[in-house]
Amino acid sequence: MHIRFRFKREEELKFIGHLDILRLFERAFKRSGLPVSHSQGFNPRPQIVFAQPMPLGLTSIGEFADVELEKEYYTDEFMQKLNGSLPPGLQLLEAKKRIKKSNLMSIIGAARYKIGFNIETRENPAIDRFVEIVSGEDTINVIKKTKSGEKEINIRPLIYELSGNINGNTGEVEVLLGAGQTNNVRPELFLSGVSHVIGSELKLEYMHRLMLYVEFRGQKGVNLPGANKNAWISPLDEKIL
Amino acid sequence: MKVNLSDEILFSVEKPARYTGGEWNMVVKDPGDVDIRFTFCFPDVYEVGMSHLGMKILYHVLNKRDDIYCERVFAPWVDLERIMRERDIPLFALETKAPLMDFDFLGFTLQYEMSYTNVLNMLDLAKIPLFSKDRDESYPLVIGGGPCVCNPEPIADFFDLFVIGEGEEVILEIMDQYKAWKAAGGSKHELLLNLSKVPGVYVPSLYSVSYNHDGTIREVSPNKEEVPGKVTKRIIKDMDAVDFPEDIIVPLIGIVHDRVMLEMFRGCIRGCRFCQAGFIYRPVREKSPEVLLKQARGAISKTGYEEISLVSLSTSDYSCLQSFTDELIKLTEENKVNLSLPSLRIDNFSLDLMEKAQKVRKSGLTFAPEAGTQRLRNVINKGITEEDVISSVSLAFEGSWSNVKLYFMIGLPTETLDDIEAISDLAGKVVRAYKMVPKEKRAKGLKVSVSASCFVPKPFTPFQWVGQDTLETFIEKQRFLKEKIRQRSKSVTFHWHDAKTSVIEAVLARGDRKLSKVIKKAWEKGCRFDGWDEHFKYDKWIEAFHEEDIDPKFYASRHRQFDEVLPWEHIDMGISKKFLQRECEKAYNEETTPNCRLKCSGCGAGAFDTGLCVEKL
Repeated sequence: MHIRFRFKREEELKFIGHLDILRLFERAFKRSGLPVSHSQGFNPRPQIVFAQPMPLGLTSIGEFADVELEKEYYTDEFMQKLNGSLPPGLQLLEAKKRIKKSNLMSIIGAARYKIGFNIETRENPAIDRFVEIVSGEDTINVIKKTKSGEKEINIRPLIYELSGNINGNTGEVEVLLGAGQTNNVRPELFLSGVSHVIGSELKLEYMHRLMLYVEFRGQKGVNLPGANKNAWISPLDEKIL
Repeated sequence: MKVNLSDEILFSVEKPARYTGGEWNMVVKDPGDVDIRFTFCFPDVYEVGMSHLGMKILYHVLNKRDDIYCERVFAPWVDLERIMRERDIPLFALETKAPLMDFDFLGFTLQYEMSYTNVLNMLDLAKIPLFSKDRDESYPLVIGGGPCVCNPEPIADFFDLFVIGEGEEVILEIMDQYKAWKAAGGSKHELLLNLSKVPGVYVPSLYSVSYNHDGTIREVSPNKEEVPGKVTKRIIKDMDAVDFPEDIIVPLIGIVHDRVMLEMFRGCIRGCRFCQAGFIYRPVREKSPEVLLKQARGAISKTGYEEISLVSLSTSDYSCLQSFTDELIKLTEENKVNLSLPSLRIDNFSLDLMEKAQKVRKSGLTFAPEAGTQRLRNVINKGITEEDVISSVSLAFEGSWSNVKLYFMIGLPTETLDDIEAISDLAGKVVRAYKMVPKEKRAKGLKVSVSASCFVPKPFTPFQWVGQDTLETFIEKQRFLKEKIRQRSKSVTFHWHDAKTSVIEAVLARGDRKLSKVIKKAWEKGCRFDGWDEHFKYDKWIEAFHEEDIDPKFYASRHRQFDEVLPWEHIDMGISKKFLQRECEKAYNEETTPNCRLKCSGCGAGAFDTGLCVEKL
């Protein structure tokens, strides 16, 4: 059977990398006794797919993964077994049975974050209006590091929603950013773009992912800025399970 | 009190999860509910320390008791150390984040001599005085164990006591004594005096050392009549009955040995004359296959590990290897777990076994002839012949392995340049063996890697009296071998170890109490992580020797007489000095000694009245 689940990562486990999370889940599945299907071939791999890697330091309540099991389980029993085998700091929040075979990694289009920052330099007094200023820009160019080197990209079209405020030398935003395999904007990248636009250095204090979204095409739903009149839906939405 | 490293600090160091704890199977207790707080201290970085089986065993044994809470601490890497010193952050344990000062015991394991400066560094980071004499009742008791403590003298001044031999039972006896002392309230001296009567416990401050004019030892004797003159090592008599952890901690980040380690037996039947482990863990005591399978099953289900490894000094010498591995392979296949098989003698059976166990990877095979000529292999009692090596590699090549590692030592007693040249010849014969296998039967891309380490004479081996080669000789021999191998086929590569490390290791291995000031001085000069090539500072060590007016050659390259009082004379590892002397003389006569299963050579381990010694007599 195929199951998709949402899980959270809390403070105590935020300092481990993506590959460590993969290994941790593989071992948790082994401990839980839930029989994960393995790929065929010389080096059988457990069939677990994560929606989006978590950068070091990120906490989250909106992570998703798909798993294939060799036997049928009720989702409640599945969650109970796996939660009993996860260390403190990781926990499943919901799980659903899945029929459609979409690749979870490739359907993710956006992520909602809460990002806290420190204002290192306060050169621009207009900084308090940073939400307005960022929204008013057409182009925010930043240098993105990729496997092949560095390239300049415009992240403004990938900032779909932005709200937030500044309190003295610190600030917090809630922001919907492009995510997934092609349009990913990491919180640091977003902050460096904003720093550039408002002419003040913002330093990341914390980042918390609230949700990952799938762009559901051809459906009239909630109309969000930047989403090409399509709707952002949860990876656990019945329409795509 | 709790030490909280801020996010800012954790973001700025390499692998922050080294310091955050919270792993699966980490023991959680309320420190307020226990009588004794113990921290297991590993004087190296997290990934190395967490790979150590002894720690897993003692963590389990101590935490099984409701009145004890055992936590863990590792040497912080240099990046965090810098921050801790800048901001005055004390060293803390991973479980509760409590500073080490809050503990009753700090238990250091001493696995290799090159970790000694890390011990000092950890004490200092914990704000604990380095010398035992400077610590009163308000400080934790600093105790040490592990293979290095068979000669604890170079670090004796830093420790309150040492545990000689295997720790599972004696550690709890120490805890009981301590608990009674704590309840009654007494002085540290009284406590140490009581503990010195526990078999296997060595309290260095209760012994005096006197020296002869030439710097050798005249006598090591207890200060009080009630203190034992000799401390005999502890061993576990029944390996099936002793507690073995199945619920071991599963780290959140990759570590060096990231798998279930299944200990098959202790001791080794072989008696290779350079190998300390082969003597100090005698007699051979095996676990039964039934117990091993039960422990394997338990550990797999409690950890979720995807790999299990057999642990012993020589896997092939396990008495029911075939029937045991048949069952174990069934178990690992059922659970989709890989089986790793280190230290196997390569023959038809073991190649077949590896074929079954590791379906995919045909990674490299390792052989350890240790010396190039039969003459020198006889000297060191390495019971393999050139024919053994060649027939083993031929089998391996026919089984489509093509990557072979050959391990040797240089600087072995009686070695000449002919012996060294023979290393290169042997590598050449391995290449020839590959070429003898028809092209269609062998795998492409032969790689023969020759690795040569520098021999370090160790206490409780037949070579404990032998002078080590000097640094200059080692370098000369390495250069000679490098040149000989360069002239050979391109498929042979040569790796060598830094001789400077081996020279310092040799000093520390056979040193006496005069060395504590040198170790302290070296640490003050910035030495730490000496086992890591990138951090080892030979020049600082030499400066430290010079400033303390100690000649390292006295310890490393000097030949001792058989009647010299050795610094570890008052430690009894169950191996008689007479036997070691006999073995040393046989070595120089190029005579071999049969293994323990073929014939008892009367080493003295029979006194423990268990294991192979009883089975065979």
